Amino acid sequence: MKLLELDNLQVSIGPVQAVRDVSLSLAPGECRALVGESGCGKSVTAMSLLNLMPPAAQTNAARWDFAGRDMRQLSEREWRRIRGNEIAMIFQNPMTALDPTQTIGSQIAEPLRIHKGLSKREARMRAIALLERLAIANPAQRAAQYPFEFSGGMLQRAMIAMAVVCEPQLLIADEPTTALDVTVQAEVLSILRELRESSGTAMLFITHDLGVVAEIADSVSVMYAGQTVETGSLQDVFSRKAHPYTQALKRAVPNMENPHRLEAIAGTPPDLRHPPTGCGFAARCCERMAICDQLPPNFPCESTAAHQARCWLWHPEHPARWRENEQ
Amino acid sequence: MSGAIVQLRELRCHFANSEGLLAAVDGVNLDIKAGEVLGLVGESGSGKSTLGRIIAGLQPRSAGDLIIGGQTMPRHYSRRQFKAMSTQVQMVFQDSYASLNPRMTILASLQEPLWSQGVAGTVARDKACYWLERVGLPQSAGERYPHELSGGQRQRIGIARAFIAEPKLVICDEPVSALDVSVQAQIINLLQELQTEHNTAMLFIAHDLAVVRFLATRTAVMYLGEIVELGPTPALFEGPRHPYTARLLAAHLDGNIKARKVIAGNTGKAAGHKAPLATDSGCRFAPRCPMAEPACGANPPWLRATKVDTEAACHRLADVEILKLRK
Repeated sequence: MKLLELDNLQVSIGPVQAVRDVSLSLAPGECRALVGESGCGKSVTAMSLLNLMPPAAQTNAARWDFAGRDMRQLSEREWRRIRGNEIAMIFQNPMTALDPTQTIGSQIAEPLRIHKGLSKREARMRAIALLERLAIANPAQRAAQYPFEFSGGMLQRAMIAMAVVCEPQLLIADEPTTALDVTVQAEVLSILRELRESSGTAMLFITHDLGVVAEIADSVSVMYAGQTVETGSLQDVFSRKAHPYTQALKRAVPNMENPHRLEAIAGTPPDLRHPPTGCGFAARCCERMAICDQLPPNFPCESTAAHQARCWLWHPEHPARWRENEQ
Repeated sequence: MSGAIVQLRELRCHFANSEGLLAAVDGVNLDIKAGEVLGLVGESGSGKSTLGRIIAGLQPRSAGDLIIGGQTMPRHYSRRQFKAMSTQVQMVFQDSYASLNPRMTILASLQEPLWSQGVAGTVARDKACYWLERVGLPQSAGERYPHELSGGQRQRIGIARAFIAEPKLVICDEPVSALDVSVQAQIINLLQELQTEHNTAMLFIAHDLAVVRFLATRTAVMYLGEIVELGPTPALFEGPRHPYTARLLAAHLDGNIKARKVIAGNTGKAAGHKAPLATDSGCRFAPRCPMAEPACGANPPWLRATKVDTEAACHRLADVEILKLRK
C-alpha cells in the first residue's frame, strides 16, 4: 500500500503554470528525493502537498491520495488536523520559518499541545527530550532560548524537532541542508536517517544537491519546468542512462575524484507563462530530435515500470526511428 | 619578494564580544603568488571571509602586516590610498544583488571601476561593452537594472566588474554558492577562463570542496581563525595530514551511491563548537579531534612541512604520517 499517490498535479499561479504535471508516489518509510533547479516547481509541489498555496493558486490533480484518503475533498478544518501532525515540513530557512518572539522550546511543544492535547508541562518535557536526542547540549536551558541565540546548524535541528515531534507519517524536507556547512550537513543527514529508521516516517527530500541525494534517498524524481521528467530508484537514476536532463545535471557538478572541465547546461529553463508545446527541455537538450519540439513526450508508460523518463528517446518504438525520419 | 602579490604576516583580526576578544583571524601567514589560484576552505565562522575582506581593504586588521605589491598597507585607508589599492585587488561577492547599485544601469555599474581610475567617456564605455560580451551577456543587458537580471547573469556582471580594471588579484567570496548547479558550472568555467586569459591571481573562498579542488592550484584550510593546513591542491586532497582536513573531506558528499558515508556517532561534536578567543591556548581543534592528547591543549601548533609537500599545524603530525604510511 502506498502512503502517498499523486498523479498529474497541476498548479497555476496567475499566468504562471508553476507545476504542469507532477506524479509522485511514496511507500511508508520510503525516502524520495525531488531534484531540480530553482524555479522548476519543487517548492510549489511541496507547499501544495500541505495545501499551503495562496488562494490565488489553482490546484488540480488527477489523483491525490494520502493514507487512504482523497486529499482533494478535504476542508480547511480537516487540513489543519493533518498539517504538522500527519504531514510535516522542514523549511529551507529556519531563521525565517521560526517565530523570533517565541522560545525554541514552546515552538517545538506547540504541535504536541494542539494535535495531541498534551499539557504545557508534558509537551515541554517531550520537546526537551527531543532536543537532547538531536544532540543539543543543555537542552533544558536551550529550550528557553530564542531563535537568535542559536547557530545555523542548531536552528536547523530545532526546525527538525518541530517537524518530527508529532511523529508524522510523511515528512517533507525542503532543502534542509542547503544553508549548512559540510560537517553540520553530515550531522543533519544522519539525524534524519536515524529518525526515519526509528519511526518509519516517509520522507520527500527536496534538494538540488546530487551528493545529498546519493547519501539519503531510496528513490529519485527529477523535475524540470514544472514536470517530473524522470522517476526511478536511486540506482536507476544514478547509474543507468537516464533522461538527458539528469545526465546533463550530473556532468555539471565538479567531481573530487577526476576533476574535468564542467559541462554547463547551455540556455535557460523555459518561461512557464508560455510553456513550450513540445518537450520542456528540448531547447537545451543535446539529443534533441525533430519531434521534441512538436509534441510533448506524454506517451503511455508501462505502469509497472519502476524507472520512467519523459523523453522521446524512451518511446517504446525504438527512438532511432525518430532520428531516421529527420534525415 | 618572490613573485608574491599579497603577503600576510601574523595577521590578526579581533572583535570584542561578551566573552572577551573573539579572534576571527588569528596569526595568519600566507603568500598569494602572481597568477595562482589559492583556494580557502573552512566552515562558517572559520574566518575565511574576514581574511578576504581584510585583503580587499573592507575590514581593518587588528595586528600584523598586510603587504600588497611590496608595500605595507595602512590599517585604515585614506580615500587616495584605497583607490590605489583597489587597482590591484578586486572582489566578487556571494550576493550579486546586494553588491550592485539597484539604481544604476548594468553598463554604468561596469564602468564605475574605470571612472574611479580616471578612465571615462567612450573609452570606458567601449571597454564595458566588451566585457559585457566577454562574460556572455547581450549588449541589450547594458541598459537594464540589476533586478531585471537572473542570479547567474548578475554574478557575471559582478565578475566583469572585478576583472575590468585588470587587477593583480581577484578575491572571490563564495561566488557560486547561491547559484543553481547548472548555472554554477557556467560561472566556474567563466572564472577559470578569465583567470588563465589574464593570468590574474585569485583567492577563491568557498565551503564547497569539489569546486576548490576543481579550480585551485593551492589550497589553505582554515579552522577558527587559523590556517591548519596549506599546500598544492592535489596533495592536500589526496593525503590530508591535519585531522580537521581529513574530517572535512570525509563529510563531503560526492554523489557516490556505493559508499554512503555519513559518519555514525558523529553527532554532538559540533554542539560543543565554541567561538575562538584571543586568549585561547593550545590547538583549537583539540576538543573535536579524534587524535587529541592532553598535551594538544597546552601549546598552539604551528605549520610544519609534511612528507607530501604540504604544511600542517598539528602536534601529532609525526603520528599521522606514520598512520598514513601503514595504509
